[in-house]
Amino acid sequence: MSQPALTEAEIKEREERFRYTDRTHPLIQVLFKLKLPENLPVGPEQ
Amino acid sequence: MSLTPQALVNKSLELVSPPSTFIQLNELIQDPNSAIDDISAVINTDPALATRLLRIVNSPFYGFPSQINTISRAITIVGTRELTHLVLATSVMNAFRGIPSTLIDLDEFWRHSFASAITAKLLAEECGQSASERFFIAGLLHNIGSLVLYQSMPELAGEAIRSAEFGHEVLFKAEQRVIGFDHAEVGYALARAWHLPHSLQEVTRYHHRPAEAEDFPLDVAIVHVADVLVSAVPFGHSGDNHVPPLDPAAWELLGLNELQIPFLLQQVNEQIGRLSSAMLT
Repeated sequence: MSQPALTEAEIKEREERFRYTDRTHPLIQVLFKLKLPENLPVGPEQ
Repeated sequence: MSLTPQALVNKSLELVSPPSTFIQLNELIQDPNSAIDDISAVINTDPALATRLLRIVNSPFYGFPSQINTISRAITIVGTRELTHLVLATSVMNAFRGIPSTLIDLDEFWRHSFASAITAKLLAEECGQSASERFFIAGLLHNIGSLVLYQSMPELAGEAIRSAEFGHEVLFKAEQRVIGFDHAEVGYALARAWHLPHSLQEVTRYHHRPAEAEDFPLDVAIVHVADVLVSAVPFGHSGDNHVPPLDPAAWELLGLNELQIPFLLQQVNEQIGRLSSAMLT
């Protein structure tokens, strides 16, 4: 899953949010860069 | 004498009823002679609960093609254990619905919990666990101790939240400093007082320090990692603006590759709205 680049404001916000976990860990590196699409609206009954 | 988690829970139990229907159902599940009719009879003694369960199982989150009109039918389609877990979840949500919104946005708190439930279940499936529904309820209730803190000592709980926000520490550390113990120890005391399954007791107690879990290490590790993932996105808000520290050994125990995680979280992203809508309305 390719990730769009983070803005300066997003990087700053994430640096604070990830402050207490080890950012050198491979999982945390993936999470730090992760951008999900906006939350989807609740769909109709399937 | 200083307050203990057990004493706080005992005080809280004067305000919060134990999930008696869940306790009855859990006993029935252990009984090999029990039948679907026995289980539905217990649920139907509480018409409000039965109505709520039917609304949840008929929601887009489950997406069953036809309407489920009776509890017996819901048990047949959803399964006894999963329906029993929904009974526990709805009972807990009802028990703590009076917490003031000035302290914590409960909808956001539950959104974090629902996302943790979905994430824990998906992680368990990725790990090859067949009975993945127990991970769903473990993820959903891992922060149950926070609700006791918010309800029974709102001023100190609020001080811990503010300290975590402005004082540069994670919430469970702020709770330990301000209150003397954290939501994990309170959750464990509540889970014991309510006679919840031992796996849930272990998850509530050790989800921030999984290396100390004596039993159910995989359950604890999965919920620990789920909590980190959900806090990283973030989905909802548990009271802490920070991602809790990851225990690398817990992640190793899952045996997954980090490149699987964006796809897994995309699934959570697709399901969370439907689950929140089903559970919160």
